[in-house]
Amino acid sequence: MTGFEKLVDGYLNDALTREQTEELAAMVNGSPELRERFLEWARLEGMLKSRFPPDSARIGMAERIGRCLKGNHDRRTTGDEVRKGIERFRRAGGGERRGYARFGYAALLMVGVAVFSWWYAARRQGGAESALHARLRGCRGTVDVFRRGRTIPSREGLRLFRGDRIRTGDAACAVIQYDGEGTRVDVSRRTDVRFGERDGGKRVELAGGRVELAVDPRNEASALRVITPHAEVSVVGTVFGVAVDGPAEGPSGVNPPASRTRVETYQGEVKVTRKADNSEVPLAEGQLVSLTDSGEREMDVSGISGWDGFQKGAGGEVLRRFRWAFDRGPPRGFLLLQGGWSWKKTAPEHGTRGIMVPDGKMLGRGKGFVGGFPFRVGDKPFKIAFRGGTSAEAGQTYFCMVLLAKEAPDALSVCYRRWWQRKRLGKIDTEYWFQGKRVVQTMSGRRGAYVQSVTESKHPHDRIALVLEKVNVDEIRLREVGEDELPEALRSEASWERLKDSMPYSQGWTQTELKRQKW
Amino acid sequence: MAGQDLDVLEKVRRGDASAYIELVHRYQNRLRSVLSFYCHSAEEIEEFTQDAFVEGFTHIDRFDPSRPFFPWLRTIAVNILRMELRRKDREKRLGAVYLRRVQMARVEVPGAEEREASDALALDHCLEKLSPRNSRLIEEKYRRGRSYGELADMFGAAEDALRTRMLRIRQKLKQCIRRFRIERERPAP
Repeated sequence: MTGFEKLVDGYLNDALTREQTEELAAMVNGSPELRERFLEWARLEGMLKSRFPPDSARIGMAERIGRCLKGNHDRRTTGDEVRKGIERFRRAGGGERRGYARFGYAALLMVGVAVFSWWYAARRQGGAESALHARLRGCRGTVDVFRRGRTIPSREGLRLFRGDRIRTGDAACAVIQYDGEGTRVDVSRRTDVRFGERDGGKRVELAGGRVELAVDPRNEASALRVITPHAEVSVVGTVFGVAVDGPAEGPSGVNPPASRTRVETYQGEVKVTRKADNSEVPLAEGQLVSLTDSGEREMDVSGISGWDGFQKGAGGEVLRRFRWAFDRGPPRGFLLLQGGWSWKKTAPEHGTRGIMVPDGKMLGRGKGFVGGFPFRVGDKPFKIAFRGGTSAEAGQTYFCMVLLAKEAPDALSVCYRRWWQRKRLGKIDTEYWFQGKRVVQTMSGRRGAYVQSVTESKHPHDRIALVLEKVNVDEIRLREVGEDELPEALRSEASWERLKDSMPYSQGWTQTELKRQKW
Repeated sequence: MAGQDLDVLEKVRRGDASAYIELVHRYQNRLRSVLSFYCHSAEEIEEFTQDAFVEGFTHIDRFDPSRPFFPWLRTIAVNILRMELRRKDREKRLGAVYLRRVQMARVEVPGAEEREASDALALDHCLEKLSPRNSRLIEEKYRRGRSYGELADMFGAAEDALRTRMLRIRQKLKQCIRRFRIERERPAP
């Protein structure tokens, strides 16, 4: 067997690695002769498989199609269904059974009863297996598909059945596309999601992880519900993301979140129903909401604006969020990036001076870091302050941008949290978008070097994941403000410095003390 | 057969959906055979076959009763393949997708329909020429879906030996099909 034939044989038996498949594709692509030989082998394999279809396939085909047909007609009574089911099995293999006389009929009857029992029980639970008009259209990395307690190999084009559960591993993702429409579900890494249908609508049950959904607005049949442990999201025609976070994994970080569901709308509008009290929140374009186990409302984003022209591209999201300002009182006009641990421990060479911001300034003091610089949105001047840190021991980095209103409790933080599995600090890269650049922070060793670099990224999805983390007020309405609306105390550099120094984190408070504060 | 098809189709048109299952039983193997020309994966063949039958059912009103049923059904299946092909065109950068696309692209080659029928005949002819032992091996591998490990136990041979043997059987079949095709294409004296 030549190398080429081995590869073809492996391909036809689904035994190739990805690299081998790429190698075979390159060979087939590069040589008309090899292409012809590949086609001959593939043709023969297909012919043999169709010439000898498994008995189960022949019967299964009729069953599956029978189920599909039912959807197009009124359902008959249960008795009729049973008779039809038995009739289907009889037709599928009746001729062969004639010679078996009584034993055959008795066995058939038992099979019929067993099938009916299973079908009826499954139907009562609303989980009878049936094909969905959806397929696995793309997958990368480890993607497990669970069907009725079994794992089936994931592959491009796999049709999903009601109740199918998809679980993605690290660095894996999957795309589910519904047939004949533009509705699709992008399943992110480390996500556990189940697909189904109910009352004629699509149903996506998200147990953990993140999905992004684009729902085709063209027809009513595209109506879709996303169910999470905390909320139900119903939608017709929009693009949005839903994420379910697990409980906090360690003591580090500021205000570690409880298990929660986040919903973010990119286009259109969705309706989010909190399970705890059945209250509904309409979520318009650009808004997001977070709901927790306890039913506590972490935020109300009904008034958030400034998402026009939202871009996934470089820096767009960060800079657009700078447009926010508070309506409740004179805004500070800056953002604070807040970190979760002391740099003193991990980057001693920088002492308490903290992060280097992209314009090269080293600002800040106290534990963690504080950096800042002025900027303008249109004609309106703003300042930004950063505060950040890496709690490497617990394996997470935590950044928050905190918008401060007049009173400290009226704080809205926008956080970026990144988790690592490793418990000890080896080398950690943290990436986020900043000023149109992708910023990569590299930190290595418990007492190692802290390096920040700025790089461009070509990957459209590499964007800073900003999450509204905590709001201690019932409602916040935001609008842009100009410098003339800022309090006098905040207009000068000196007052800016004073403000930074007055921040609790600059006072050297501990994590515990910090958590006690109402931000 | 055409008359029987018409009876069934008439029932389906009158609203008896279950009658359509008769057509599924009648044509599923033939349709699989057509689709196997363009896909090697048993799952893909199954899915496209199912899709074609369901599409046929949902558009049964468009079927012209004065024409035979199967060619109409085949057209539906081929159109499904074309749609799949267009989709794969957009994703051809991936090796596995590219290879499947190469297979499916044959649907656009003129004369494919004749080739399908001719090759199916050829395969039947060539399978008959296999030795009983080889026939059994093929039957167990494909119809029963046995792994090489199971086959090794059954046939009392090493797995690698069985793989090589299976490859030789396929080579024989391939050559036989090619000869059969040439024979058929040769003009009668």
